[in-house]
Order: sequence, then C-alpha cells, then structure tokens
Amino acid sequence: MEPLVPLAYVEVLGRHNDVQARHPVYRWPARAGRGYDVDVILDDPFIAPRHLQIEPAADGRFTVSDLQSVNGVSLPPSAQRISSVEVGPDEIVRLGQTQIRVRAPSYAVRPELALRATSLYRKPFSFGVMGALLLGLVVWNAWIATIHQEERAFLVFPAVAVAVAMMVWISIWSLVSKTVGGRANFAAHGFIACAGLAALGLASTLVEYLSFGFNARWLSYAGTLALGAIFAYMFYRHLRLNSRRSRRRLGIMAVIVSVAGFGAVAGLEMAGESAREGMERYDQTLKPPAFLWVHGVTPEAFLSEGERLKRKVDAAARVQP
Amino acid sequence: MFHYASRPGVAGRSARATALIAAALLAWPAAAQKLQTAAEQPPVSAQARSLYEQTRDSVAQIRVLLGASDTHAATGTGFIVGAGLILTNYHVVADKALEPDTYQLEFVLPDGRRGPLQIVAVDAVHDLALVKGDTGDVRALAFRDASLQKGDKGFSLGYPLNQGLAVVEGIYNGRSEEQYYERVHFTGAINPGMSGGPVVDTAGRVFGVNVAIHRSGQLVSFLVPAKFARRLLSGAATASTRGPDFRAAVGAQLKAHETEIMGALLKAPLPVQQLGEFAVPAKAGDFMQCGAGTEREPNRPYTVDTYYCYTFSSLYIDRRLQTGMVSFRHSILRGSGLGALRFAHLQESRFGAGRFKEAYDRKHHTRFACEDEIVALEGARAKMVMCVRRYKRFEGLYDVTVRLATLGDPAIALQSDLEMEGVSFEAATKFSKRYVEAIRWNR
Repeated sequence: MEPLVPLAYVEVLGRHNDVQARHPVYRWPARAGRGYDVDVILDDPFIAPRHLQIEPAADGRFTVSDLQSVNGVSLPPSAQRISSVEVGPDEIVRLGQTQIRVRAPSYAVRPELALRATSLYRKPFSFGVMGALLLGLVVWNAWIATIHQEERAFLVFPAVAVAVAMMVWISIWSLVSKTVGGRANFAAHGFIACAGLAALGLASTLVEYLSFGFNARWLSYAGTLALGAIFAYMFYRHLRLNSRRSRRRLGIMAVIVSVAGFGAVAGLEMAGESAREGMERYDQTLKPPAFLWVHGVTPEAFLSEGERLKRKVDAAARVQP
Repeated sequence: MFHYASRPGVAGRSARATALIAAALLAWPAAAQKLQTAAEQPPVSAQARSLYEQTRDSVAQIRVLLGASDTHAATGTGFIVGAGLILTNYHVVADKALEPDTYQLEFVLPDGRRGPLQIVAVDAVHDLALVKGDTGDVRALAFRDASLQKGDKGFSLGYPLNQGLAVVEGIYNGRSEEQYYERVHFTGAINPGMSGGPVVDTAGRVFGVNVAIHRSGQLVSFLVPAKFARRLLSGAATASTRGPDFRAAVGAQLKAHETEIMGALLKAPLPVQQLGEFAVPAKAGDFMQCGAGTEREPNRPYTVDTYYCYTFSSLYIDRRLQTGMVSFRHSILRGSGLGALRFAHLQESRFGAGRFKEAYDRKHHTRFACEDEIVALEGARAKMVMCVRRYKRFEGLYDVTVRLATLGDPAIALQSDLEMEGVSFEAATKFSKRYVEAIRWNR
C-alpha cells in the first residue's frame, strides 16, 4: 500500500502566531470542525462539528468556506463573517476562538537561524559587575552626603535599600519571564535593571552639574526628558525578554509606561507643593566652583530684575483678595 | 543676650523670644504652666492690698467672643480711662479690629456687670487700643506724668489665665534697651490674660500698660509707657477712622512703621565689618541688635561662624501675622579635609534655611515668587536668590528676602541672608543693593 501523501497542512496557531499543531490533509475537499467525521479535528467549543471546508485554488492558495456554522469564519483582524474566501499560505483564518493557516507541502520555509553565543549581557558575570557598579555609585553618593562622622552608618543603608529594591524588581521580571516564556532570564533582567538604574543616576547627576555650571534651568527640563527616555529603554529591554510581540508595540508600551511613571511622580510632586506653599522655592543646587562655567551678572542687574517678581506677586494678590 | 548667642542659627526667631502675651493666650491653660506661674507670684503686701482696693473697680476683663456666641476665644484686661472708655492692648482686640464680622468684644467688671464693646482707635505699633462700652459711672484711673526711677515699685493689675482679678507687685527697671519701640522693663509676674491691664505707682496712677513677657526669662515683663496711651486717648477725639473695620488704619500704621525702619537703614552708609577674609554688612545703628555664634564640634570636618543683626521691631498684627522686622545673618563655612564635593553638599544643605516658611498664612500672604542667578561679587562669584511675597490685606507691603552663597573656594564659603518683613518693594530693593555691594571677598 502506497503511503498517503499529504495534500496540504492545516496549522493551528497560538496567541503569538506560533504553530501549536499541524494537521495533514489527504483529500479534497477537506473539512474542519469539532466532530469525529471531519478531516481536521479542532478542539474548541466555539467551533461547530462541521465548521469549515477547504479546497485547493491556483498558485498554492486555498478556498475556505463556512459550512453555515453559528460563529462563522473571519479573517483577522477583521471580525466580519465570510462565507467563502481564497487565502494564501501566510493568511490567517479565524473560526471560533481558533486561528488556522493552510499551507501546501511545497511551501518554502525560511532558512535556519544560526545559533548565537549567549550575549554578554545575559551572563551572570555581567550582572555581577553591573550590580557592583550600581552599588558603588550609591555608596559614593551617600558618602558625599555624609559629612558628620557619627552618620557613617548611613553610608550602608542606601546601598542595602537599593539592593533589596532591585532584587524585588528583577525577581518580578524573572517570574513573568518564566511564566510567559519558560525561561527566567534572571541574569539578563538583573543586568538590564542595574545598568538602567546606574544610567539614570549618572544622567541625573550630569544634568544637575550641567544646569548648575551653565546656570541654565532648561537643561534640567531637558534632563527630565532624557531620564524618561532612559527609563523607557530599560523597560523596553525587560519587555523584549518576556514577549515576542513586535518591537514597535513593545517600544510604544515602554514609552507609555515611562510617560505614566514620570507623570505620576510629577503629579505627586505637585500635590506636595500645596503643603509647601509658604516656602521660598528656588534652585538650591550648589556645586564646587570648579564646575561653574558662567561669569555671573552684576548683583545690581539681578536685583533690578526683582521688578518682575513684584509684578508676579501683585497679580497673585489681585486674584485672591 | 546670652540667650541669643546660644542659638545662632535662628537670629530671626530668637528675636521673637519676647512673646506677646496674646500668643500665650491661645495656648493656655496647661496645668504644669499654672503651677509654675503660681510659684512665681511674689507675696502680696499691705501696700498692694490698698492699691488693689483703690483701683479694682476700674479694671475690666476684656473678652473676645466668637461670633454671636457667649464663648470667648481670648481674654485680656482693660482699664477705665474716661466715660465709657477702656484702654487695652491692640493685640487683645486685634481679631475684632481686622475681622469685625467674626468676633465680638465684651467687658466684665469686678462687680459682675458686663456689656458689649466697640473699638474707637488702635495703635498697632505701640500695641494699644481704645474701646468704648456702657460701663456706667466707674471711676477713670489717672496717668502719672513724672518718670520713675529704677527700683521704684509698681503694681500690675489684670486677669491672669482667667483666674479672676489679681494684683502683682514688681519693680520698674527703666527702658528696655533691646526693643525698637519704647517699652518699660518691669520685673514682675505678668501672665497671659493680664494684657492691657494697668500698672500703677504707689499712688495708684497708671505709668504703663501690661503688654509682653520674655519667654525665656524669669519675671522679665514689658509695659507700654503711659505716654502712648495718653496720646491715643487724646487723638481718638479727632481720629478719622471710625471702625468697625480697622484694616486700613492698621495698614497705614504698618506703612509708617516700614517707612521709619527702612528710613533708618537707608539714612547712612551701611557699616562694614571684616569677618575673616570677608567684608560684610554690620550693625547699621543702635536700633539694631546683633549677636554671634559658632559651631565647632569635635569630629566635624567643618566649622560655621555666624554673625547676625536684627531690628527688634516685630509687631503683632493678628494671631496669624507678626511682621515689621529686618534681619540679616552671615555664616562663614570652613571645611577641613572635606573635599570639594562634600563641602558643596554642606553648603547646599545650609542654603536657604529661611524662617518664613513657618510664618506663612494664606489669608495674609501670597506665595513667594523667587528667582536665582549666578552673580559676580567683589572677589568671588555667588549664587544669589531673591524672593518676594505680598501682603494681601495691607496695601504696598511685601516680605523680601535676598540670600547668597559664595562659590569661590572649594573649602571656604560665605552664606548671607537678608530678610525684610512688611516693607515697600522700592525700599527693599534699594537696601538689598547696598547690602550686596558691601559684601567682598578679600583674597
């Protein structure tokens, strides 16, 4: 007896269009449904016992027709019911809650991907180095702020707090990775988190020094944008380890999270303003004179500008008598 | 003065250590305070008894009632100075003077008679007020014309802490040398609630009006000299302001006060003194009080020397506003082995620890508008800040602060703060310019 040669394959696709099952088809017309008397059995309660009929068309294409099912057939992303349509090997057909694709055996698949060596950032060693660098930065910052000898113990606390927070953050991402993709990617998440936070810290320090040194307030606003971008990129890298969705979608998601996060921080700060409404608010930043790159105006000129402040408070007094 | 010297960081606030009685009125009565004050009372002498009997009928309790209720928000004392006229402190009736719709005034005489009061005239600068009510034919107390000698006896009357009318024996000690406006230094146990009460000599003639106590002292009390009471009384007949809202009158008095203080500061060139390598503005005249302090702790890699001056001229306007003081403070920071970054952090943490944030009231002040800039001083660059806020209820008055921190050396810095309360913007700008011009770093 001659072995049966499949005429086509019906592929059942998962959420991310990954192939979950391949059913060979041995005769035309082939029928798909939940019943035992069809050629391709699909276990989905939203599929009729006889739901769909498949016939060959020209050029490796197929015609699919609805067998008068309740839920019908559609071509995602459209939800419109179709009674009969011709589909190519890369077009997806939806029936019930299942997505399928029909391909001829002659369909040419893409060549194999070359195996790559593990990227440097995924190695535990890199995580360790980056983690140490981050903690070093935290301790350095704490050291600058610790002037009294009796406060030396405070050198350690920020580092401990950062380490704990990072472990929580990395563990959550790893857990998600493990759940979604089967691999925890702990070292990779660790590297991304530590590198991201270190970059945020360095960038904010840089911005602080630059806006002081050039006496330019706009630099600190620009700096906030830069921090937002760094955070978005860090979030994007975390997402990329967890999801196979398109880079664009993940990028948009990361930007949204970053904008929302920075917006929430700004909102909280503004809410705190009312508690400090009686305070003099100005830029208190002072850095060593070596980092000051402007000559400075004459005090006389600066104090003469005070007229502007007067106009401001005069206007405020008129608004609220 | 040692009290001020021991608290160098708060030149402004320490000047307020002389607490007006009204401030204490709000906090009373705490049980512990009561016991303590009871212990401080000197024994009552036979002379005090006779004076008490002579004058008691003319001393009334003044009650500030909330709305139309019979519940008092504050109490003070007053004494009869004419037909239906009672003299008391401005700070006793300030609420009624500025918010006539919210508060009512009432007098209660020792014989139990009571009745409503209206304000006739106020003098916020000297803290006096004249009120009017139907007191019947109670005898008016007479004023003493001649001055007293240090060591003379005086007897203060009033209603301390709502305990009933009391007489307190004390000693006249001349004029307070610290305060801008003339005040009698009286050594006697004056307590909250006695504000506005008369202080009489051995013949029962009034030479002062209870007004304030020194919070950090013992029995150091202050009286408004009787001459200001007489002036208010004689001026009341011709006064143009007829309440019930005295906001405009108080505003005009604040303006006159401001003109006087700023005038005194601007009259002569600002004296300069040398503090290490810095030349900084110094005591501008006898109307200023100055002091110095230092922070030199073992195990601290830096020292801070502070020098400060202020005009002891704070005026009580209402329970939310005291104003009228000008103060400045210079701090010299020196790091030893601290390094440039940590020294900058030290400077940053001490830059602008202003006191105004604690004295903010939405009713009275707008928010501060501030600007900062890098300026080139003589000898060094500095970060300079100017902040301004306006008074909402009094026309043409502002709080203005100028702060600067030098950026000339990684281990030495001067931080200087100038704070002006309730001043005109023009005078404040003029004085600020002189102030900053006087600052030099001689290297």
